[in-house]
Amino acid sequence: MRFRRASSDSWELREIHPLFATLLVDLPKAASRHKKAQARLYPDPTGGTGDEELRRDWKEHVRPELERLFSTSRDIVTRDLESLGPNGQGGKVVIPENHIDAWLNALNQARLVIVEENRFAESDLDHREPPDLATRRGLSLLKIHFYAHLQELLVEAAG
Amino acid sequence: MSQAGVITEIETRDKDALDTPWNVVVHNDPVNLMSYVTMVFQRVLGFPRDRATKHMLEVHQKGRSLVWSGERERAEAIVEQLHGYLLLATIEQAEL
Repeated sequence: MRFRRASSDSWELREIHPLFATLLVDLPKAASRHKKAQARLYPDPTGGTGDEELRRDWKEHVRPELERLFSTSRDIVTRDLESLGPNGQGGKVVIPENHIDAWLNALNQARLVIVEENRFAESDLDHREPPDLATRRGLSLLKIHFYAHLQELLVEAAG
Repeated sequence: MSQAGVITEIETRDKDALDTPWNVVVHNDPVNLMSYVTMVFQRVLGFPRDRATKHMLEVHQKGRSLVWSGERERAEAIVEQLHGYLLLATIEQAEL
């Protein structure tokens, strides 16, 4: 897979291996499975110090804003991925420069969700051995690493 | 006289509470990438790259970093922005 500047205001992913294309197509879906990751996606701003008023205000006013932001990011990524086709056979994804933040956000949502779903610990994520792709857990780890790689590329592009 | 004295004391304590700065603390988590956290600190807090990297490393090595201190309303706005970037951030009242 190659990541390069496509024009003055866009980047592109091309020559995408079919396996990685599948992982890309799955990104918005993975990012939207918030059920098991609520506490991490919407953390307590007080850190559990018992400021009930702040916690209540946060739930009422901030959380809906965050939900909107996360949903908008996933929608933008979904639209950018349309060129790839449902099975990733399109072979190319164009990412406009002003969509990079949405991509970073959606990638982070997906990684957080997958970590929570699989209860991965820091040691699992730091593991340098290739994941065992014969297991669901191994595939999830591959997905996390692939999304992290994409994030690194996009952070560099954003910088 | 004594009633007025009590009222004055309460007002003073409330004023102290309002004046006490609030800290924004960012906590370590295994998911967020070092480069990403550095970028977020630059954007949200306006840190130059060196300072952003220093705080990112503090989060990574010590588990937390105090990244901003000041009035409560602004502290809440910063934490909200950091949550928008999916960083683990909390607001804490500074100890007097």
